[in-house]
Amino acid sequence: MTAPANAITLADAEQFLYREARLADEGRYDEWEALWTDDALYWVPVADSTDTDERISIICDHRSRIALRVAQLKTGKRHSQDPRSAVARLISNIEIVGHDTDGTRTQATFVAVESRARGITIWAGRVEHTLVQDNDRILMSRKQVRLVNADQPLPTLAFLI
Amino acid sequence: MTAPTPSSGSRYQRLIEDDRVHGSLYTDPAVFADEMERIWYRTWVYVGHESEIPEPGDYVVKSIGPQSIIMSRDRQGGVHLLLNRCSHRGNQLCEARRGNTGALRCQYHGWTFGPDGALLGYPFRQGYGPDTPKSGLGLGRVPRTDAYQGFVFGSFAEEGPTLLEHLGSAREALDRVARLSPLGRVELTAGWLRHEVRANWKMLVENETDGYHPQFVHSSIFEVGESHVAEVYSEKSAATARDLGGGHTEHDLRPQFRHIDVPLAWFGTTEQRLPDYCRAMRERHGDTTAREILVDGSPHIMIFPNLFIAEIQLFVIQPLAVDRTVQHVTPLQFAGAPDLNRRLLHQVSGSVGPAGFLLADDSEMYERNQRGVAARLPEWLVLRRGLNREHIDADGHLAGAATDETTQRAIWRHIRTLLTEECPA
Amino acid sequence: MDETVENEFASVTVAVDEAGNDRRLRVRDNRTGRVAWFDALLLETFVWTPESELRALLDPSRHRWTADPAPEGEPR
Repeated sequence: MTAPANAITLADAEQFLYREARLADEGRYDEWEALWTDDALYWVPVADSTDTDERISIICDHRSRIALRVAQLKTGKRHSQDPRSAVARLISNIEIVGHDTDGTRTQATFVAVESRARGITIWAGRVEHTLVQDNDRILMSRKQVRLVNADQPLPTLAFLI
Repeated sequence: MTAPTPSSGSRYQRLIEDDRVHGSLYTDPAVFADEMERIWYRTWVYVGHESEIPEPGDYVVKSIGPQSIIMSRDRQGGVHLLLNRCSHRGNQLCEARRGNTGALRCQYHGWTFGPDGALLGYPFRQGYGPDTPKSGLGLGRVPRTDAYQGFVFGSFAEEGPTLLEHLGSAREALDRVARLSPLGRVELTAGWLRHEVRANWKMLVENETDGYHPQFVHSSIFEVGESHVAEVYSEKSAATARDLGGGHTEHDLRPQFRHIDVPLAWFGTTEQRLPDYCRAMRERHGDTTAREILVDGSPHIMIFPNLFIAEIQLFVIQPLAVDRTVQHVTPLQFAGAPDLNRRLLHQVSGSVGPAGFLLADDSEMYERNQRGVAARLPEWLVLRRGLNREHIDADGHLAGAATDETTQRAIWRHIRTLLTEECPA
Repeated sequence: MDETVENEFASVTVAVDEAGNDRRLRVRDNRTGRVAWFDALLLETFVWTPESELRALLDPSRHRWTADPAPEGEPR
């Protein structure tokens, strides 16, 4: 794998992923939404689904639906996030797995611990990002979350995974 | 674990009144055990759709309440409902959720069964001698299986009402769904979301035709998204809440959409956005009938006890314990309508499931409701809304306004009948 | 080209074998490594085999898991 001269470095990618995780954990919705490009896809598939047009997804948000999701959270009446879940997430094993015309692709492993009245829920899985350099900032055009239990019944998942 | 002692029918006469029900009905494990025996292992329960097993040898693993059920298709095309338990030592036979096979072979000791559940053989037959008859050693079968419009139901009762008797007027809703396909066929091919809630199954059943909650539970999405749902469930709506008998309830939205009189308004889209689908519908039905079908739209019906068709998606409600329920949901897909299907799939992905704009909040309410109802006082839940204005409609059904509790009362009347009737031993 | 055909109960690899004077299918049981070849006539025979005989073949005791001696010249 030969990185283009202006490619995103592992260190920069790590900083982006940590920041994205922190904004989601803290419910800083506007700042989190601002990390997305206009052609974004936020995808949480069921089990081994490979096609967003053939199989239903847990989340399959293009850019306008990401905005809708954030707007709903911000109404203060999204009961499943009112009160907001307390979330602490670790993101680790970060690798750059490719550079192409779409951007720099990363893979990582995450564990998120969510606390609500129903109790503690542990979420874990693999996450893939496509990162793009936009002048002096990094944005994400794609985030795909493969939950370890995506083939099992899941409890409500209303925070930003 | 000891099984709770069955309660006598008179207990339920006391706990279920015409306009109020006792909180313990949602929280008492003994009630749940009675419900399994007298409702779920007796009445017709929806299991799966024939389109999920299109080919000979196809099978899917489904459920009737906590029971795991294999729905299989044999080489002659027959559909079977088998219990997912090896007849030898009780091992679970299928681990995969779906597949295709000419036989089911238990991974524990190799006993092998046909798609009809018949025992084909076991390894090392010499250990059984000549007089172990294979005929009595097949898989457990759901005693009665029948289908309507491809919707497959099973009943654990050897005798009782036929499926068509059980469905009654609700069968028309299944006809309405099928008629939305240019080829007259529903297909459930877009996969399933499985969403588990810590709540009693009846909270879900009652909520499916509760027109009183959307303005409150879903106000966040009504505020930021475009939706006709808020109008449908307002005091000004022409829609009605109907008791179809047999515990089946619906919101008949047709009056409201006939009032709007725009094809596909029920789906929040227009003919211009789905030209291929609308052309195919006109070719099949003619201009006038096609327009009527596209104005009326898809039903919103809760077929007791577990099949909920909500216009664009289908839910299956699976009770696991008194306070644990899984909702399985898939987009409706229609044969001969690829452009409609794609739009349905994406809309459903947004609305339902663990992260859905709508269902995450419904599910939050189910869980809060379960926690709340555990409180000792005031003991009863009040189901009086619309008692003052319900009426018999032109079809002979008890009907109320869209936001009325005519539907919840209908569900409870039927539950009371089932829980108090003498059960065959 | 090798194709894997499998379900949750069995897994085989199927290939068209050109080693003989006519093409035939080579089928390998991936769980044991055992291999068998099926020529056109044998496959045609399967196409004409009634359901009842196929079901009889699926009896695990019939050939594979049995204490009966193998037919002469056959591996067990």
